[in-house]
Amino acid sequence: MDFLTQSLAEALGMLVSLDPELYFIVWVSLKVSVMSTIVASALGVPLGFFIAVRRFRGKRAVITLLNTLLALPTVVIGLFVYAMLSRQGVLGHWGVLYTPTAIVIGQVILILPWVASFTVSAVSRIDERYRQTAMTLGAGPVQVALAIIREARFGILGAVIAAFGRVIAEIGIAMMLGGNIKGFTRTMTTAMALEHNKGEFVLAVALGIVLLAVSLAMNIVLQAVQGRYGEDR
Amino acid sequence: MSMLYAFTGVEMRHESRKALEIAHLALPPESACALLGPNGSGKTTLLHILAFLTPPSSGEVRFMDEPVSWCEKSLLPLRRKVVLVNQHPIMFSATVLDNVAYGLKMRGIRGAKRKRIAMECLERVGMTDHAGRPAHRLSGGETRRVAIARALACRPEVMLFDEPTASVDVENQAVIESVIRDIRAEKGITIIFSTHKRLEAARLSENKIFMFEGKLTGPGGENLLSGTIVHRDKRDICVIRDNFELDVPSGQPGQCRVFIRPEAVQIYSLEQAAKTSSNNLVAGSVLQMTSEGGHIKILLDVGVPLRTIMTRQEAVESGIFVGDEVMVGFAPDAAQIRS
Repeated sequence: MDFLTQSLAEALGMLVSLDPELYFIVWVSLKVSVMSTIVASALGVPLGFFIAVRRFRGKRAVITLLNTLLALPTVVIGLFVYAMLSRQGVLGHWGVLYTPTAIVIGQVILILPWVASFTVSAVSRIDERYRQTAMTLGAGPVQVALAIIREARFGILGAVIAAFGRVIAEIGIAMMLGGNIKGFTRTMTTAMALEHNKGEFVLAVALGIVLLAVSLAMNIVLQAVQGRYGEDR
Repeated sequence: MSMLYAFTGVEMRHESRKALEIAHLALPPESACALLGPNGSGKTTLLHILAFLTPPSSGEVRFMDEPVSWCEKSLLPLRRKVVLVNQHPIMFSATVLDNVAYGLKMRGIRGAKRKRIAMECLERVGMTDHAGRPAHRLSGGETRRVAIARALACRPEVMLFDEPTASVDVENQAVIESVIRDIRAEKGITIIFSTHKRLEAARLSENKIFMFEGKLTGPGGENLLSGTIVHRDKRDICVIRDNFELDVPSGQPGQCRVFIRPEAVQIYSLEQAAKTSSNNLVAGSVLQMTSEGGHIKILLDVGVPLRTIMTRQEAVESGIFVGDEVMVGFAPDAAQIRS
């Protein structure tokens, strides 16, 4: 118990003293996670919207596939992308293995089904009358889509925040594609795993506190936005 | 005369069921037209086609003498001339003012002008005080009024209303009817609305279209009753209820829908009934008398609602008043089987 209390106290000390190594790791983690969330959202929201509003053959199969991909293990993605980006791989000439870009590629593959699938759910729940109302009031196809997305915005925002939560806490992709290089690709989760292996818990505990704080902050933002929306209704 | 809408052989199918089947329909411009018919008669389906929201499964629709091609590109300019106000309008999650200004925003009207037009339209429906309120907090009647303002702001050439006063309190109903009457007075706007209320249709429109099971039934389509066809004494008889039977030309025994021509329904006072030779009389009472198109329409309660029509002179001579107990007779060809 003393050991844990001591580690926690030293970890808080690191946080308060603005330890450069600690904050650089936090910065790398946030950078790759935000980047992969932006890319996955830019691809996943339109994809989910398209699947939700369009009628096409095999729609049910596509939704089933997306839902299956939600359970894709990070190590499988790590292995697959590694095979693509390694020197022998088809994308080896990009030379991005063991860089933040490689982590972003892997993480986008991880959360794209999350964003798309939850967007499908959010848009499908929107009343059909919104589409008809926008159309009869003279909206073009893009404006109709924007009107529906606007009504589904809180569901979509929830999907994006859940996706961000998934990538900031994952370790398999960051380890296999980033290589845990100090000062370059070391993220909060890979650093924590390393410190654990070394038997050094202070940095790991400090990073754990930051990780939980980030997660808490994201949820507070989501609740605040949804709360305001609830009042509006 | 040039027609605003012209339908030829228009059909709408939902899976295998025919929701709408219109051989010919022509609607004149700058008029008010009421679509009358029971639930499921195809009124809303027709309104959605008129609003260019849903293409028909087959057939040709002409708008302003031009055929409608139903491709997205050509529909947008048409939709900007026609606005549909839903039976249960939905508000975007924004303020009342933003909702009313939505159509103007889509048309590229900006800033102060957009706000001015939106406020003018809110004033017409008596909702200016609510401009800054979140639209989701409005009551049902207020939502209906804001939806009308939102449609008016688009300055359409055709306004379509799906049951504009259904499930609305008397106060909001009066406001909505008054707004529709005002719009009618404006030149260049055609109004087409669906309703169950015959009086509302009489007050607000000069043309009436009667619908039943997706088809146009022609004037008088209101006397559609359910019955059972039986073969008795070498005759086909439709039994509507106890002591209410009508001869029908011929038909398969079983459930049917029968149309009773209003002009073939005769009303007798109790004294007159005692003297008449007819033995097929049904007891009833007079519920309502209204003036429609120079004639008097009488709503009777014979266990089911039944309408008859007579000239003003005949009505005066009959001495019938609302609330009278009467006997109702039928001409031999009064009943026609519809389905």
